[in-house]
Amino acid sequence: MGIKLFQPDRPHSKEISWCPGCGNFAIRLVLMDALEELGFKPENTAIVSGIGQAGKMPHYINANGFHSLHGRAIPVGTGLKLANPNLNVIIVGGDGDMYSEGMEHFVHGIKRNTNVTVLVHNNQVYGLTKGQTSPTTLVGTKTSTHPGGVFIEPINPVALAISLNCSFVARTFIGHKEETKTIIKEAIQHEGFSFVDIFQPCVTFNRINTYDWYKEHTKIINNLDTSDIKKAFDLALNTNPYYVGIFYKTLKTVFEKNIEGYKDFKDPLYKRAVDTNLINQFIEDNYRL
Amino acid sequence: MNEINILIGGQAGQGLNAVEGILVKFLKKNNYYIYSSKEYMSRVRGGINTVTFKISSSLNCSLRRDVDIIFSISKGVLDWCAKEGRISSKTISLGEEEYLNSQNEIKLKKIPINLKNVIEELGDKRYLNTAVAGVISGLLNTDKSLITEVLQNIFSGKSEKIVEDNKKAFYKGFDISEQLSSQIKLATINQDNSVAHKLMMSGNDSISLGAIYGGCNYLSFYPMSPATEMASFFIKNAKLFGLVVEQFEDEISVINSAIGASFGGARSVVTTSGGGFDLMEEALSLSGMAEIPVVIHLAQRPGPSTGLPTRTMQSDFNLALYAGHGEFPRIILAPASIEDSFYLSSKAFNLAQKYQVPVFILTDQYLLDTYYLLDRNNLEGEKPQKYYIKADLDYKRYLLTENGISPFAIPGDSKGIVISNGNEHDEYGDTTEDEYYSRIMQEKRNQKLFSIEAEALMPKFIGQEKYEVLIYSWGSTYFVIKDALEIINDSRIAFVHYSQIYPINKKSLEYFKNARYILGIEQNITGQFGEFLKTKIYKPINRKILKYNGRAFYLEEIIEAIKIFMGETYGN
Repeated sequence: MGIKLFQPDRPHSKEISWCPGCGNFAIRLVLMDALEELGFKPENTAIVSGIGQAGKMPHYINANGFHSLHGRAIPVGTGLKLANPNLNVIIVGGDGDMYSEGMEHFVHGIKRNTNVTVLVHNNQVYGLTKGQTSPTTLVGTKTSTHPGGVFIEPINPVALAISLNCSFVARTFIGHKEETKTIIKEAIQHEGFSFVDIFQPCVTFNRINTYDWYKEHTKIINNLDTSDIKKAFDLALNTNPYYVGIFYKTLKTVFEKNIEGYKDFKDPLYKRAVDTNLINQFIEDNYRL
Repeated sequence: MNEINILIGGQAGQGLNAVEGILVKFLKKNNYYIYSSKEYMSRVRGGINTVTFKISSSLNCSLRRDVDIIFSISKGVLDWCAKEGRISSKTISLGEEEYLNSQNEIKLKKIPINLKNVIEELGDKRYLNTAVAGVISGLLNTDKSLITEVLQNIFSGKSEKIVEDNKKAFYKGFDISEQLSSQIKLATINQDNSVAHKLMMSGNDSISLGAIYGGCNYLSFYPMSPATEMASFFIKNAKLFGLVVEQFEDEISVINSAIGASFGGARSVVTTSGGGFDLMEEALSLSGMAEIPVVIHLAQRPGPSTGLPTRTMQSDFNLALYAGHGEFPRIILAPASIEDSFYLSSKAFNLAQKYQVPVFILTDQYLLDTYYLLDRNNLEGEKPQKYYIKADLDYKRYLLTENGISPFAIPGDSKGIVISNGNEHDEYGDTTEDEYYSRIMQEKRNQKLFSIEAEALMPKFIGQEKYEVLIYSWGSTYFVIKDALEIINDSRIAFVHYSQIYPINKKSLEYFKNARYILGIEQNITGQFGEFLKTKIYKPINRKILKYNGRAFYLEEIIEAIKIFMGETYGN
């Protein structure tokens, strides 16, 4: 077991500001293990995050990192991947980050299908802003937004992703560490937009979705044909129990492998030199008339 | 200077661009200087769109109001031109008889041209455009056989019959107007052999090519007039130059992806207009905080809100200057001309990389949609400089330095890792609320502004050493003012034109000290740049000449406004 290569040693990387008992700690350890076991190096890995408790992840890992804006981790990560497809880009955010502020990027990220991995720390409540309703908060949960209890049906991100024919769709519960690690490893290795929704408790603001609740309300998927989108969708719609595991995988056209900018040129963008002769010739050919 | 000003008007979708394409190429082949600019409605079919051509014997780069010839290819063009004030006592109107009728009585000479039989004969109404180009060419002293080469170039890859039929249409039009020569007396324009060596380029192409010359290799966008053409250029040439281009789901993702790409070492640009840029403001602030370069091509059009989507204005200086929360340095460039567009567009990427700040290129619909002949030698760019280092294992993305600029490293380029952060951070890029870093990082970012200011471009100055009246302007109004002043020819007046509008070069403030009167010319309603200048020059601005109807300044308007000011100030 690793936790060496990706263990940071920077002065402000050691005092982790998550609440004691938070599921983020375990996700961090699992992610660092997964990266090391897959043979990645810190310099060829980049963690791109949005804003929220999950968004702090780049500070607690020894890898390239970009702690960006709320909801915007997917476009930032997409741009990074397009600039340098050699980088292993992991996009991290919470349920508010990805499914509320960043929902359109989530949908279009799936559509664009760049080869990135999206990990959503889904604790079904807002943490950093202190306990408001999130897009995945269950009906009946009392939050600071809905003190009388949430009465609007939550978003089902797994079913949504499958409905969009997302290249890789999985859900895990961080209480199942080994399974989560296996799934994250597979998501990273999968070529295309890989999405993993990770159930994790918020020990401070979510009194309903506790470790025990998730244990009782989740069931590991067994013997599923992950190429069957209808079966995957059917399972995803099930909320009692919530299935965890890989729902669906499909290999689709990968965006950066098919764009014009990478047809005759293979280098990452920063390595490309400007060919002034080519530009001069272009001007001669097109503007002398 | 002798010149002929020709306006062609018709509906959207009728193919004015095709007429423009043929005429520009044909007249250049005939060694005439050409200037072309268009104004159009925000619609795909119908309405009235116009193209103005100016033909002259030497360089000519400003829009004239009064037209010599109006060619109508649909109804309503004359009414439109009358409302726009383009018709003078000398204007002659051509077109099918039915298109020469106007709802209001307009006094001008009307000459019906029957081109309908041309279309019938050739069986495709698109030939009308070629015939119209023929009529106009026939009015000028041109060699009609040169059209063959032009058509072969335009229709390269198409069948020979298409070229032949277009040639027939062109000749028909040409022959019709040769018979009109007794009725239409136009100024004599000398041909100039040196025209063959000139380039005919639009502002759009110049901005785009300049960017590529400056090393730009990533463009993200969401379609919006008048900013989309730059993206179209990149898309068309992505394979040739190795450019990554993507249309994102909205402007928010457009700029965030560009910032992500820059983090990864790309030289990225976004191309947008007012409303689209509004959506980018939060990420602009991220660029400022994370110190990640990004170039923003902000193609101005009239606002507020959707405003006039296809028209021109200079009303987003304040937007560019004040956009984004918090305080961080930025650079705002505003090209004076098509040549300047190439230069500044290339330079923008070096500036963005060197200072790790957002850099704006403020253009407008007028500049982007204008063409004229230019010297190859005047199309000079700045070659990309390398501003990044290899990160070592203890690399500090936000290393504190004397000038505030920390060495930039690229993820994956070496053993060291790179952490960027939109939260306040320590030197490594990790979030902290420590009092020292909270203060010192603000100072570090702000410190960069002093270096940026020190190398700010000086404005162009035209005038004698001693002058009384100083005119200032910025961006695309350069030529129209310069040309007006040449015509006015008054040594009491000097002109200072800013292409870098923020930060401005402090030495340029000297120009204002020497002036008794200060006169501003801008295309917005408040005189935004003048208000900004006031905070630097500590002097009143005696008059602001402002235009804000979505149309570019006409040469005549500038001349009249300056003359009025001079008359009122000095007597006649």
